[in-house]
Amino acid sequence: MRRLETNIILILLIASQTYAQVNSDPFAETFTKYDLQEKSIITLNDIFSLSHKWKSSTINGYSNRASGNGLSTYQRQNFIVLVNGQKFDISFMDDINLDNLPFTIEQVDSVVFINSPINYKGYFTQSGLIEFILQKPAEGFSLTAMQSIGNMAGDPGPFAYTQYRSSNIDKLGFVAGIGLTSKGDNWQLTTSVKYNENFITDKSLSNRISMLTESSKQKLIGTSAEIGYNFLNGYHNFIFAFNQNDDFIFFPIYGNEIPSKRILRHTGFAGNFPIGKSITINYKITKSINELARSDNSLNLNFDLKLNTTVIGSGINYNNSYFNSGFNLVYEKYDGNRSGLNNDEQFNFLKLYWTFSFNPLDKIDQSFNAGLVKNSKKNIYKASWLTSYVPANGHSLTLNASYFESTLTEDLNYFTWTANGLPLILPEVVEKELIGNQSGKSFGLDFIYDGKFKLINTSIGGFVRRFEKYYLDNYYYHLSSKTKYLTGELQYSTMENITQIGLNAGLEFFLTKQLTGDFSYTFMKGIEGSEQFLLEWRKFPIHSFRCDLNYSNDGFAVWWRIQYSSSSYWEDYKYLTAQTFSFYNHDLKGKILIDLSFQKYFWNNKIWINLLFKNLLNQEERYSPIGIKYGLRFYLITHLRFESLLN
Amino acid sequence: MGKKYYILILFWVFFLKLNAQQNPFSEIYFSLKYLENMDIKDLHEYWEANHGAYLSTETNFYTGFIGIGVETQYFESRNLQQPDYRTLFINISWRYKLEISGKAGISAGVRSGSYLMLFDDSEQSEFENTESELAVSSFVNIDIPVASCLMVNFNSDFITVFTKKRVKLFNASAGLTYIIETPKWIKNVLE
Repeated sequence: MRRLETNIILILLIASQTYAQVNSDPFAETFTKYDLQEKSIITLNDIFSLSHKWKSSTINGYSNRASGNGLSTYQRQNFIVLVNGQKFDISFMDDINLDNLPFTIEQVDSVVFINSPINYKGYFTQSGLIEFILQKPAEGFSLTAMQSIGNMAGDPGPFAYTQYRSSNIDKLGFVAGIGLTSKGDNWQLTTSVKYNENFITDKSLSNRISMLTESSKQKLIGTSAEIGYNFLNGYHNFIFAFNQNDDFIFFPIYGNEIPSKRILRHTGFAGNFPIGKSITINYKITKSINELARSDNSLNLNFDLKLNTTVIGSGINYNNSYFNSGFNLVYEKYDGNRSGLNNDEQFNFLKLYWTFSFNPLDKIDQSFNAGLVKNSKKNIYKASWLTSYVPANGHSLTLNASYFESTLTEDLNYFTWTANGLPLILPEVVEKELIGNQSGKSFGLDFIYDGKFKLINTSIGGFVRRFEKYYLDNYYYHLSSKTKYLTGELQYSTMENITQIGLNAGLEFFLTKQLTGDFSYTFMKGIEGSEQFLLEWRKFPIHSFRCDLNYSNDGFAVWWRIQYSSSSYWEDYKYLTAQTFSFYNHDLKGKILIDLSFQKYFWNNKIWINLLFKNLLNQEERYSPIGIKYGLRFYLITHLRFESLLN
Repeated sequence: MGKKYYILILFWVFFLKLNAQQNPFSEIYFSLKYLENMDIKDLHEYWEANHGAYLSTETNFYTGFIGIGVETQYFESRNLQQPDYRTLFINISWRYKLEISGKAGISAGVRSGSYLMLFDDSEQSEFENTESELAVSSFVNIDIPVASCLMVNFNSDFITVFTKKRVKLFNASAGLTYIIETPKWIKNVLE
């Protein structure tokens, strides 16, 4: 017995330091609250404009489909979302709306993007990862708040009463949020409430939605509470969150939006504590309920799935002067409640992740990440091997070679939940079951060079990825002249392959103490593969560049951005272009956009006001062939921060 | 096109002179102006622009003057198909002043904000009776001091409202400006 205990301790001792992540840092991009303010981020969905390595597309203008550094298509929305280290299961039916997280941008301390497959805080980031680190409360009692209002140019104005009458564009989304925090010697409490609303006034969208419902407003209310305490020399936190989003969910299989109430409930308990100087134990228990509840509509469409998720995990991390090592074990249960089944349908996963980092030579770091995902049907393997060369302080070159497998079950999307033959939408509007190969594998090589000089920081990176035996759902949409709905003709295909390459370069410069800026360029292209996969990849612009300039002095700042994206091609909508006389167009043209913002702090940094103009040149700005058209618009954003009020 | 160059030149002046002001927010200027419309371009076929008023508060900034203001104007319909309407232009302004002697000088600036249109149309719903749109104005202003704390000013103003078919207005105005030293508590807030 004693020998067994000794062996277990020995295994745990050489297990990894998953949280140390020494070698994974180059593949992480971190943006602080100051970056978020400077770059005029208004909603959580806006954060995709921070990282030039992430591409995003929007139909309604307020939620996105995103792809992190070429790690996924817009079809598969599987990137991981963490809040203070806790995973939030907001991915539902291949849709991730970050605004379903129940806090505003005012409460965010930093955002981390992981752009390569690695082990990060006990998760393998094969589709990328975004982590929000929330601001720590100040001593005593504090109050924060934010609100944003905006308007887009192009209303008819008085000409509505003349021969020049046109449709009303109306105001842009309204965002408001309040946070209350308190902090004592060994504890802290953070609570928040937020409210968003958006108006469906653009004809591209309202033509479809008005046939289903009289409502033309999306509204979201979210609330959260986090209690943290220091205990056993570690930190432990409990997060509760509730979010309800009365929205119009675009469902690709149906081809149109479905009015639904997106409800998310999340409770999570996580923490860590040290044992001695070298060992840290971490644990997490989260429970969440994801639901698309019925919202009134003329066709009585309703999603038939309530998803209960339970995650229980623990890990041990060991580090000494020679190596870091860690081992994480996670059990995940997805319990789907369906009206047509007596018993809930379940998918269970047991996930094991191991990381081992060491320095074989001076100036060289190595990190080996391995993962095993076990469900009832098969074992799925994931691995990556990072090598960092640090020739001098401030300079590093890192390579990451990765291999991972993926399955339909892991995706937990429409095809996963209809594999049993039951429809997901009632009344049944589509009946498609994925038949054929349901698991794929991917090989990748990512590299990045980071260099810090006196007045500039540079970053040059790139990747080669090979996806093999993946399934794709391809659509060919038509417009029904009678109903104004789009009808989608679904053709799924399996055994799809692609090789894609990407290159990105970033330059951060500090011209004077007051004048700073950054420049970035990305290139991304599928170079070889099956036709459908290559077509799917053409939804991403091949070239994009961006240049930001910021002048700040004494609490006042002017921020300016010019950006360019090359054209993109959307095969799904190719018939609509002719059918609608280019009202919907499957070729999105390249565009140059200029944004300008004036920002000022008042009352010793308690109040921050931002007057933001987007798309100053009033260019046609569209991110999906069937999505809304943006033009010149302006926002007034106010943040309030009253800290340590009763001290 | 001329207006774009005007705004571009002012933007350059703004950056070039940004560190020139050593004591920002030291004074507050309260202005009330009477305004008369000179031209309403394409609106002329349907409406006649009446006189209006402009109330604003300004303070000296890191360079030039920054302010907030509200301008109101009434538009009378020429026929029954179009309703009368009142406008409220709630704006933030910045101007750069070339001082000729003391506080006397000529300044050029821009204003931008929300242009609210309130239609006297009882048949429409309340939502449609009110509409707001982005507006930008470029203006030239002449200040003539008449006392240590009082100025007379004359202003010409070209406003573009970014409706689908642009509304363009050319207004002239005259008024008085009263100057006070910024109270300490207000200066604390502004800083």
